[in-house]
Formats: sequence, structure tokens, C-alpha cells
Amino acid sequence: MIYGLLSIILFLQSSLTTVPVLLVILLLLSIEKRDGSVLAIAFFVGLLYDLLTVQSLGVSSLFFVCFVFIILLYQKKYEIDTLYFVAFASFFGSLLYLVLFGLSSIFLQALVVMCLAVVVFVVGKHMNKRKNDTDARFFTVRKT
Amino acid sequence: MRKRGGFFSLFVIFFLLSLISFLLFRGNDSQPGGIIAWVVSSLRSQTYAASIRLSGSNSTESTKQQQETAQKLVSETMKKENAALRDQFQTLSPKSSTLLPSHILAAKGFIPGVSDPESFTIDVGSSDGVKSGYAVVLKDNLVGIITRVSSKLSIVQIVGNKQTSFTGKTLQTNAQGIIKGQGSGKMLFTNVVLSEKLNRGDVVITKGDIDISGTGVPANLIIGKVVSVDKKPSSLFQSAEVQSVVDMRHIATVFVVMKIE
Repeated sequence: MIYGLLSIILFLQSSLTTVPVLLVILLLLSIEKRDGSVLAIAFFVGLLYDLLTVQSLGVSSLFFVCFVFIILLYQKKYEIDTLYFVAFASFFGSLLYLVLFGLSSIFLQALVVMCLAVVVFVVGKHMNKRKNDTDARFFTVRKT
Repeated sequence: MRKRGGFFSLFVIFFLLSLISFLLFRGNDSQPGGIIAWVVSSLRSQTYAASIRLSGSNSTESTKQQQETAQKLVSETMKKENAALRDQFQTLSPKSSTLLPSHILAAKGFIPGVSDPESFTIDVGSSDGVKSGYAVVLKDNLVGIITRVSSKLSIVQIVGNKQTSFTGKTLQTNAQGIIKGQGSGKMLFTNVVLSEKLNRGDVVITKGDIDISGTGVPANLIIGKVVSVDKKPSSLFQSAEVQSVVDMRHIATVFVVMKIE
């Protein structure tokens, strides 16, 4: 499901909008998985994005790989599964991306990315909690 | 500890791979990107046509009307294309023999269909003879400049883009200055000396920026109209805000200036 979503967002970001929505997905994937596989995803997503937007091949991959690496480094010392971290990382990550790629309305776009990341994170957490509660109830019923 | 070492080595591998591909394909006009982008170009053009149609229609349109609109979409795109071609052939400058018609496949902006786009993806590339630096026009209006080219596709940086900058002059008073994109379709006509006359409503045209190889922006293309003037006696220069006369959100066909005569 996540790869399908990633493909749709990749297509939309390469065709319609300048808002770096891919960063939100990569950030949330890093928080969820917390391993090196996200680096591979970031690399290939970046390459595909460059191919679709006729950019110098590897320029987005460089940014995405470094972004995911910093998040993975950060999670060794601090808790990253929090709303504050998601807001902070999405805002400053997208701000840096928009500045480096010379896009306009950078603060507004970074704010949009931050809001989107926070909403997806909260919804995802809520869904996970509900799923865990259902699983726990299922096992309790089976034990009795 | 093992896990940390694992992701660090992966980072080094992917970082180096990205860096190598970036250095290899930097400034290369025949990127492999064109092939994949070309494959999805049909889907992109449909998405773009739908976004034009939706941004032009009322939000209160009923579902039935929307279905009818979707059916008419293809024929309307054709009508728009024919109208653009007819208009372009009636334009004296630039000459139609030096122009290459192209369709817009994608337009990237902050909010699609609402805010002005920053760039266009068009369906002509280096295999059609297009090179980076060529001007893109609609009638006698400058739309943008080609910045990246692959074999089948090109990226047009629109005149209002933050990274766009070229020389211009006013049609009425011949005041010369530099046009700088401000993002979201806004432009600033700056570095105009105080002694020159700048008035609201003046038409700003290109002065002509052509390099030795013959590529660049031809002279006398309309950039836009002056909407406000900022003139302070203490400053060295005056500036003016310029608005493009072309609605970049609703165009489907543009023309690449191939040869400057």
C-alpha cells in the first residue's frame, strides 16, 4: 500500500505541484521502519523523480538520502516518534529542499508540508492504535 | 551497534551512487530521463488537460455536467490547439517558419490550476533540435526559456520563475532594465535609471539576449505590463512590478523559437 501511495505522490509531484510531498512519505517511512531500507527507497524515489522531471540524475537522490540519513542518526539519541519531531523535521527539511531547488513561496509551502506530515502522522498513529487494540482483544478472547 | 554500522554503510553506498550519477549526467542534454518521462507523458498530458478544465470551471458544477465536460475534454483541447496555431501563424514576429509547436504535458506550481506555474514540461526535445536556452513564445508573448532538455522532452522555466533573469525595455519610453522573476508569476523590472520614464500600463518587451551560437531570447517579444512603479529619489535605480499578459494556467500549446532571424 505504501509503495502505491509513493508512486501516486511521485507522479503528482513530478507533474502538478512544487510542494515536496515526497519528503513527508520518506520522513514517515523512516520513523516507521527505522532501518537502512529507507535509504534504498529514498535513493530510487529520488532517481525516478529526476527521470520524470528531466533533472540532473541523482540530484534529488542526494537530498533524499541525506535527509533520511539525518533522521536515522537522530533516532539513535532522541525519540523521533513524536508530533514535535515530525513537525520540526518536515518543516526544516522542506524549507531546505525549496531553498536548494530555487522554488518560490518557500515558507508557505514548508508550512503546507508540515501540516500534511502532522495530519498523516496523527491519523497513522490512531489507526495503528486501533489495530493494536483489536489484536489485543482478539488474543484475550482466544486465551479465555 | 551492528544495525547502526549497517545503515551507515548503506548511506555511504547510496550517497556515492547519487553523487556519481549527478556528476555523470550534469549538464548532459541526452539524459535517459527523457525515455521514462516520455512513457508517462500521455498520462501527464491528460492530467494537465483535466487540471486546466477544472480550474476554469465552477466548483458548483454537478456530477452530470462534469461527466459531459470530461467527454468534451478531448475535442476542446483540439480546438484550443487549433486556435493557438491559427493565432501564431497570423503573428508577424517571430516568423512561423522558425517556430516549433509543442504541447504542454505538465505544469508545476504551488497549487495546481490556482497559482501560476513555475515550469512547463513540453513534448519536444533534443531529437527535435531543441536546445537549452531557446525561447518559448505564444503569439508575440514570451512564455519562458528552455532550461533542461532530454531526447523527447524539455523543461521551460516560465518568465515569472525566481531563477529567470534577462534584459528588457518599455515599448513607450524605451526605458531599459533587467526583468527578474519573483516566483508565482510575478516579475520585477529593475535596474532602470532614475532619469528614464516608467509609467503604469507601459508594455515591457525583450531587448534581445542572443549569444554567439544564436540561442537566446529574441528582441521585441512582449513580457508584460507595468502594474506599479517604485521610484525613490534617494535610490540609484527605480523598479516596477510587471504582470504577464498571458494566463499561464490555461495554455495548452506553446512554440519554441528554433532560429533567430
